[in-house]
This record gives sequence, C-alpha cells and structure tokens, in this order.
Amino acid sequence: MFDLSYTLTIVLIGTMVLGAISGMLGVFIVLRRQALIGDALSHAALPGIMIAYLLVGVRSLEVLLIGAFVSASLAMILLNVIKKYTTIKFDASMALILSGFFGFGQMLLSHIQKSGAASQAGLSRFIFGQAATMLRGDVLIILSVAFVVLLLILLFYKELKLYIFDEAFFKALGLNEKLTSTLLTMLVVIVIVIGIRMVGVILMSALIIAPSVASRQLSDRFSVNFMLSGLIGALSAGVGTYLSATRANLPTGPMISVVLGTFVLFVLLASPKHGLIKRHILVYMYKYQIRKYRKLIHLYENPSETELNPTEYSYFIDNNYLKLESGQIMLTHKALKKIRSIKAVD
Amino acid sequence: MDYAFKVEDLSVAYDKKPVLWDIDLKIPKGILLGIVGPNGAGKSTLVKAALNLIKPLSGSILFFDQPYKKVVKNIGYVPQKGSVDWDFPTTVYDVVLMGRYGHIGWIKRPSKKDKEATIQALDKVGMLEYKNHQISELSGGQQQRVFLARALIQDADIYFMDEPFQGVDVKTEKAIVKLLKELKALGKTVIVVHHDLHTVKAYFDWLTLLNIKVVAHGTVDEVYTPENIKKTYQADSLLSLESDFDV
Repeated sequence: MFDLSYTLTIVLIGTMVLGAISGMLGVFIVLRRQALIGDALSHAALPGIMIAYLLVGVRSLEVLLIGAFVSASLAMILLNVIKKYTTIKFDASMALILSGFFGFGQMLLSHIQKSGAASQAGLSRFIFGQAATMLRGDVLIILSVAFVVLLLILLFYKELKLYIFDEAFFKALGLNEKLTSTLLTMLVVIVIVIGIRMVGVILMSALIIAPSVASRQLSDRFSVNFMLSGLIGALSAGVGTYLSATRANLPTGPMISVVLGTFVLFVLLASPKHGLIKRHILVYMYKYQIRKYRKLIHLYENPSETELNPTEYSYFIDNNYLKLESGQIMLTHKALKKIRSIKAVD
Repeated sequence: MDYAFKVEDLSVAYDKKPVLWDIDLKIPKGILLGIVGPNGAGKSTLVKAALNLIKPLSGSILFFDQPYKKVVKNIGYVPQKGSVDWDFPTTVYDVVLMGRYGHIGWIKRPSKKDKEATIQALDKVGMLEYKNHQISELSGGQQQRVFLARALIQDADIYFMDEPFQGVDVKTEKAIVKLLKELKALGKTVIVVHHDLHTVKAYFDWLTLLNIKVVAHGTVDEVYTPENIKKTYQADSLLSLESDFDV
C-alpha cells in the first residue's frame, strides 16, 4: 500500500523535517500566547513572492523565498510600529496586516496570471502549497535552513524558555530582551518562508500552532512538550503529504491541516493527562460519591447527631461504614477514610 | 555613608500621567526597608524603574555608587507572582534554576554548582519536596516561596521584592519574614513593596511612605507616625500634584 517512489521519499523527508521544526518552534510561540503572529506573518509573505517574481521574471525558489522573507519581515516591523505608536489593539493590528498583505499579494497574483507568461504557472501553489512537485534542490534548501533553525533553538533554548515564561525576570537578570525577541520572531519568519512552498501561506500557521497545542494536552514538561510537538508535527506533515501526493494530487496544506486538526481533536478528548473525557469521568465520579455518601458526610460534619433510626442507615451498616454502639450510630474507620478521600479531591 | 541604592530626581510617567514625581531616596547598606503606600502610589513602578524594566522620564539611579548595567548581576528580584502564567509547563526546580541564568551566561548549560545552589535554595524555603512538581499544582504561598528561592540563588547583595506577602498563607508569611531577617543578617539590603500597615513595625527597620512623591523616608521609628500615614493615604497629596499639572 505504501508506494514510495524516489521523488515521494525526498518530498516526505522535506515535509517531515519542516513539520518537526515548525512544531518545536511553535511551543515557544504558543506558550507566549502569540499563536496568531505566525498566521499574520505567513499571509504577509505572499506579496513578497509576487514582487520577487515580477522583478526577476523567473520562478527560482531561492529568489521567491527571499521575497517572502522580506515581505514577512516588513509585516513584523509594521506590527511593532503599530503597537508602539498607536492605540490599536494587537489582535486588531494582526488582522489588519494579515488581510492587507494577503489581499495585495492576491491582487499581484491575478495580475501576473493575466499576463499569461509560461513561467508564472505554479505561482498559485504558494497559496495552499504543493509538496509533490518539489525538486530535490528545493528540499535541500529547506533541510539546510531547518538545520540552522534547530541549531539556534538548541543553543538559545534556556534563554528562550525563560524569556517566554517570565519576561520581566529575564530583563531583570540583565539578559538582552530585544535580541531574544528578535531572534524568536526571525526564526518564525524563516520557518514560515521555508514552509510556504510545501504547505502554502494560508495554512502554514497550522503547522506551527497545532502540534504544540496537542503536545500541551499530553505533557506538563517543557522539554517533553518541545520534543513531542516536533514529533507530532513531523508525523502529521508526513501523513498529510503522503495523502496529498498519492490521492489525485490534493494540495498539501489542507491535507496536513486536516490530519493535524483530527489529531488535536482526538488528543483534546482522549489525552490521559488533560483530556476532556478523563476530566468528565473524574467530575462525574466525584459527584456520584458525594450523592452516595451524603448521609455519612452529614454524620461526619455533625458528630452530635447519634440517636438515629438504624433502618435508614442499613446500607452503610451492612457495608461496615457505620456501627451501632449501645444504641448510638458511630462512623467506622472505613467511613472516615472514605470521607477524607472524597474531601481531598480537588 | 555608603548607600546600597540611591535615587535622585526620579520621575516616571505613563503617557502624560505622572506615576512617580521627583523621587529622592538614599538607602543605606544592610537594611530591611518596606515601601508602603496606597494603590496607584507607584510602589511597583519604583521597583521596575530601579531594575531598568521601565524607562524613567528623568533622574539617576545608582547601586553601590555604580550604574545599573555594572551591578545587574548583584541585584535580586522577586516579581509579583501574578506576573507569570502558572500553567506554564515547567517544574518547581526549573523555575528556581532560572535564578542562575544571569550568572551562567548565554548558550552555556547550568553547572553542577548551579544545580546544588538550586537544591539548597529549595530547601531553605521549605519547597524541596516539591522540586519535581508542576508549578500549576502549587498554592499561592508555595508559588511565592518558589519565586523567593529563585531570587536567593541570584546570590545578590541587594534584593527587590514586589508584594511578596500578597495572597500567601500564614506559614509562608512567617517563612518569608524569617528569610528577610536572615538576608539582613548576612549584610544584604532588602527592599520590599508592602501593603499591610499593621505589620510594618514587626517586619522592617526602615520605611518609605510613598504616594507618587516620597512622603517620608527613614527608620521605622521616625517615619511610622499617625501624621505621616494620614498624609500618605490622603487623596489630597495626589490631587495637589495633579492641580499643578492642569495647565
């Protein structure tokens, strides 16, 4: 069933490495509550690709990616300028940048397509991504850039972690906050740029955000989150790419997003750590126990009430929760243990 | 006299609203100082300006007669515990170890010594048994003790603590007070933003009453008087400043 041609193997390696690096970087972005920045910046890469094509006139991946990089960086600078000098809220400015840049990029794309030049075919692939048509050279570029990004994350791992956890303390230690925030944003821009050929500008952010959301449900350790997120990213990207390349050449971005979305949904429900199913079962058990043992709890909280009708309490007496001592009802050791265990649940 | 912390003509404003106005403070070495004042008096702002977290409009700040940049590794900080997300996926041990990051330096990994210091600090604040716990599992008092341990391993000579007694249990409050006295006994200077007037006399030996301006500053015996306190908590001192501004 797995028909892995040489070309497909190369493409799979490329997307899986991209998925891994996006997932690992995403942990930092999502924990910093800046998930939407990835979305805004990837959309903002589109006009850069089109302008680079218009300037150079050939569809060389390197040139187009440089265009994407310049345009996404420009968007980042604009976001910071808006934040610093206006009263526009950050989410609103992100939405403005996203729609403004993407709209402009789409307009340029339509203009280029109308010109009908043969070399423009394929530019539209940057919208939703098309991994299957990538060449070996393209994949090599992506691999080497991903390697550098990973190296930088690992080198500055400790600084990045402190920076996203406690920015004020980070600054108070005398560590350079500007450098770190620039590094983090630049890494996001770079990962977006190498990813858009495969996944497309619209859904690139899914590959950054979704794996870390899923891994957060599975672990409370930062290092585990980091590695797990990379693994989830790699596997989802691999499965998505395989499906897209082998079934009627569906665009890769949407396929990966669907795989990721399904996985996140599954983990949200079924995670043994923070899953909704587990949480609901625990809450249900808690409520059930309080209802079942409410009479015991009442006796425990009101020890003076001892002259009671034993027939009402026959279930508890039969099960050794209560004992009769000279006509008075007493809580047994077993009952005390039970009540304390119920009360200890938080 | 040697001063651990000296502020001259410090003013801070958010947009056009003054938060600190012409602050002058001389804080001798080795004292335990409380900064007290009503909400919005600029207590936290003063600490943040000292630590270079916000930019003052004017004024100079010196630590041991040197500018901030030269002594940054010698300044310990306990931020308000509400300033971070306690759901962050990390352990108690990891948070405390962060106190060493300034000493460790970029890129390098924590050494054995750093790790030992972390364990010692955890023990000192009574949190050693929680070392591998998730920070999300901690109570308010335990969170505060984690922050204290993190500041302890900064191994500083001057400490700034922003509301360390906020929302903590009695046990933690006692532990913090004990720790403050120990730091003082070691010759450290400790500056604490505080909100409870009743405990001032028991906890501190110096007191700064602040309400945008410094109302009074000196030893607790000199400063803790009914007149000074009334002056600090009166809205008038705030208003008189604002009326100067209404041009």
